[in-house]
Amino acid sequence: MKIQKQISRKIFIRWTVRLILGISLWIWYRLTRFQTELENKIEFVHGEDIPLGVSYFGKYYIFHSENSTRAFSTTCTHAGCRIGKGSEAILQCNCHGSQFDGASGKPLKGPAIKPLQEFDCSFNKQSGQWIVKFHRDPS
Amino acid sequence: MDINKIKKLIQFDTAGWIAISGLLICVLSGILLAIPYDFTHSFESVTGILLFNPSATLVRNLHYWSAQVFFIFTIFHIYDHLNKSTETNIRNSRTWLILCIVLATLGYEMISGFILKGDAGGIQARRIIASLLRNIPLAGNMLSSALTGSEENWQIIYIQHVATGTIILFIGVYEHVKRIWPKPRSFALIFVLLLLISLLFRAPLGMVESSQIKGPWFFIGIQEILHLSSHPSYVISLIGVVFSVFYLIPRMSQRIRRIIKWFLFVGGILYLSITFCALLFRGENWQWQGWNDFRKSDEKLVIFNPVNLFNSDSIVFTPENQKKEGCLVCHGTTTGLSESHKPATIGCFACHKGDPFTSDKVSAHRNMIKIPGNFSNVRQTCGTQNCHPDMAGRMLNSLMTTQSGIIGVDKFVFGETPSLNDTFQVKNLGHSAADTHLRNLCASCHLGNDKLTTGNSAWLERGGGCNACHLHYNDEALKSMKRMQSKLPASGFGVHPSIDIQVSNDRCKSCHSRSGRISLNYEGWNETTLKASAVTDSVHQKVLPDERVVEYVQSDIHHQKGMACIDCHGSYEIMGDGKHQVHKEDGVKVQCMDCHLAGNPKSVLVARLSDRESQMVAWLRKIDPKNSLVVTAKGEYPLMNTRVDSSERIWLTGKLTGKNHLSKPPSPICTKGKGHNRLSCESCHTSWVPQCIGCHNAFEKDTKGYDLLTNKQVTGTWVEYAGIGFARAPVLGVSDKIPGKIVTAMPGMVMTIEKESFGKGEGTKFHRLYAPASGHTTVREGRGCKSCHNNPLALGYGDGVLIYRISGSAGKWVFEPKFARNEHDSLPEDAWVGFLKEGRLPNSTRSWLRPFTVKEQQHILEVGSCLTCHDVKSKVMEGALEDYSKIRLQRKRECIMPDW
Repeated sequence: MKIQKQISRKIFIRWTVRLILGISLWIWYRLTRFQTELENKIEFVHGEDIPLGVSYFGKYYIFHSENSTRAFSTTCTHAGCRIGKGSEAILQCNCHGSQFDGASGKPLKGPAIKPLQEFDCSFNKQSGQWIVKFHRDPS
Repeated sequence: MDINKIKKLIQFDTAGWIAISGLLICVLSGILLAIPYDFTHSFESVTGILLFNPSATLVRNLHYWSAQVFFIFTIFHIYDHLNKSTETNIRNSRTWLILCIVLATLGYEMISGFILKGDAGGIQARRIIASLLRNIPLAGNMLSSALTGSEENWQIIYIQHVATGTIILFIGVYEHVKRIWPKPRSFALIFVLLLLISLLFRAPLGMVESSQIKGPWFFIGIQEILHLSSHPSYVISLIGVVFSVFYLIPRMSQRIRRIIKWFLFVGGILYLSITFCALLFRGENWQWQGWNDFRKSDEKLVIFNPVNLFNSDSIVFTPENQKKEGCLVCHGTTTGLSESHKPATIGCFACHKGDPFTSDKVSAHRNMIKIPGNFSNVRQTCGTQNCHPDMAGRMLNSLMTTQSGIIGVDKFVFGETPSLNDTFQVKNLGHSAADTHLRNLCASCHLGNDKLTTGNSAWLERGGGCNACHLHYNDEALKSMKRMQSKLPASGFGVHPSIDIQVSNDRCKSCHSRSGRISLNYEGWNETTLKASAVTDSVHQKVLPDERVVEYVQSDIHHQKGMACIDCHGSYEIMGDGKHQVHKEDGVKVQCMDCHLAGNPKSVLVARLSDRESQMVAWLRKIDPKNSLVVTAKGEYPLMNTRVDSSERIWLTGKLTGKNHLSKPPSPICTKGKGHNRLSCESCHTSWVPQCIGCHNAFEKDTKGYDLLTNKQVTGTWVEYAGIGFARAPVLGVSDKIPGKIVTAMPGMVMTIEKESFGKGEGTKFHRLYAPASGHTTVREGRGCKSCHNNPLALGYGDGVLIYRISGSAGKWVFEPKFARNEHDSLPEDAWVGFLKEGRLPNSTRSWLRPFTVKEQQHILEVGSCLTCHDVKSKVMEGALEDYSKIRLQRKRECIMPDW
């Protein structure tokens, strides 16, 4: 009986610790998810006169042409660096040397192989403004 | 002293205890560093520490160097254990696990310390670590958030660095050795050594907007591997595998342990080799760099910059929006620079390098680039990724840098290349006869020729990279420069020469007063063979700074109207379009018809300009975004100083004068009928071009000369003896580039080369090559019919008497040349082609240019024979202009056509 009591207490403590750890992890998970979503749900507004070509706005850039206006993330799809203005419509990542086509966000030179993430970019006729919706996928 | 005693003195303690001493000093200095450091403005606070707070600088240095000692000696300590196989002493797997966690934490502490300095490398490193952590399955996002925080808020990474990481390290150390205090003697010795190092060598800091990103030295190997791998998750896995293997080492059999250790050792050596190579030889955008580039690169590992603890200077007030650079402490009040290059905005370092994080004059000026913009430093100065990378790239391929056309033609006449269409680069000139000829006579006129002295470029000081056009010293700037050179106190406060886009004609003259001499022609001056002492008429004659004498003929209509060279020639011409061009016509984009056209011009809205450079120029010149600009037919480049109004008229604004000019459409005669539709505008509207013939070249081995490429005096030089020169209407020829187009030509290489004087058995070469002429002597009124159809000069026969003789019912053209016939080809000295003869090959400096064929000459002279009887304005000639074939069929019996 005595041995059984000792084992059950040990099991109890072990499971309690595991439970606390689990709850802590769950809270941590919820907390970080909420924080990430909060940081990524942002909207940016621009005037009507966006110049042709690449306009760079830190976290994203807008490529404006005669036919379309698109917004892309400036986070390199390779290792997360911020890509910078390269020559003309080419964007350059100075961390590992990738290059992207400004018009389509497609990689022109490795190591990056995935295209840049595209954001919603729409024109609001009422306000006469371009709206870029920042919705980076946290995964 | 006994060698063992020296050994004992050096090996005063074990690597482990040295590491712990380093850790303690690092933590203590970290506590002090927390006072001036502000994680909300990390870069600014670190800059402030370096510039104004010597004590904090010392503490920061101590913090950095002690961290390096801790890191390096921990690695040595691990190596010691693995080498002696004493890792098996740790039987408790929990202790070994904690040590592994400590190792990971050490890596985190080192990288987070690198991040917290807040320069470009630090900011990007945070992003990389965050992204790499996110790649870890399941817990990636949680770890990333917990260890790297967010882009805007560095509170988390700061807290983890100063608190969490430090606590884990101390727990690990205590768990490992059951005490925390090293021997006082070791501690004191390490402290003194670190203090000495910290007093002399500054902890590194890069620029916040640097485009050359290098991680911390211990991370550079990983950066290289990441550069080679498209899947960062593999790198994370590799790091995970190394840690797992390390964790499992004590549990492995002795044989496997030995193999694993061997792999770890070889891997470590390889990693160090990659690190070393990347540190030294990796330049911007993963291009190879040499030792000199490494020295000039933005971030250095070891910077000798002694801390002056007794510096009595008080903190200098700096405007909030001013760039935080030490240079501005002294040079902050410098004026003279244009808006785009204001020191408050871009600082001094971006152009002049040196050390921006010290207020010590000597250290600040070490490795400084006195004259930025030379092509030898353009990649570190004007052409960095943040400034003008496109332009620098284009310039390096432009004709004004390569001299391709000049070299190609010269090598062709020397018989060193069979083609006129090859590309060359002046920097690659060797020492052949042609190359030496170029070195002695031509090789100074290229932008790669570095400007070596401050001040405005002298006439013979050609080149200078970007400075050739964009650096302007006004009187105030010149006074400032002289004051600075005098090293008087407070001489650093002054007027900087401006860097701008207001390029005057004088900038072009030094080089473009040679060969085609377009700069002189444009203003109406023709070079003579007179000596300076022979000048008698100071109004119509003048002496150039290089002693050549020019006399006034007639200036270009555009010059008379006040237009400058840059009013027509835009940046994509002058600075190139990025392509390797062969000849000048490849570089020139603008044509007369871009502004002087009969229909509606092709235009683009300023707001619709697609290239960044044109957008920048539009902003600099404050051009209304609603303006429509003329676009060149060739290449579709916008002419930035033009405007197309609502009536489709073209206006051109002088870039230097601000004066508006209304562009006129071509005269009706230019576009009337079929007669002249093959004529280029220049063929009628060029009033004169400089022409020289009979030039003689010989190599004089005892004469002192100059190697213009190396800027050194040499003994033995090619000497050019000029022949006769005159200013007269251009010769006409045919371009096969635009088939059948009639263009202007002028003597290009009508010369004798005594190759024998350079190398035995080479003989003497004679060439009669004409070149396409861009006269730059445009006149409003075109040349008359007779000026072409009855003129031996226009037809390429040279000066002389061209007469249409009628004898009975037969007519015959006869030509009596003025100049004697050349012994080499029996043509008159000033001729391009023989009278009613086919041109002999080679006859031009271009593969596409040729004189008129016999059939074409006959056709022109046939019209000329009509003009001997019919007035230019007669119905017959007017009709001929509309349809010559029809008029020819309707001719009367008394019309006598030439008999060929």
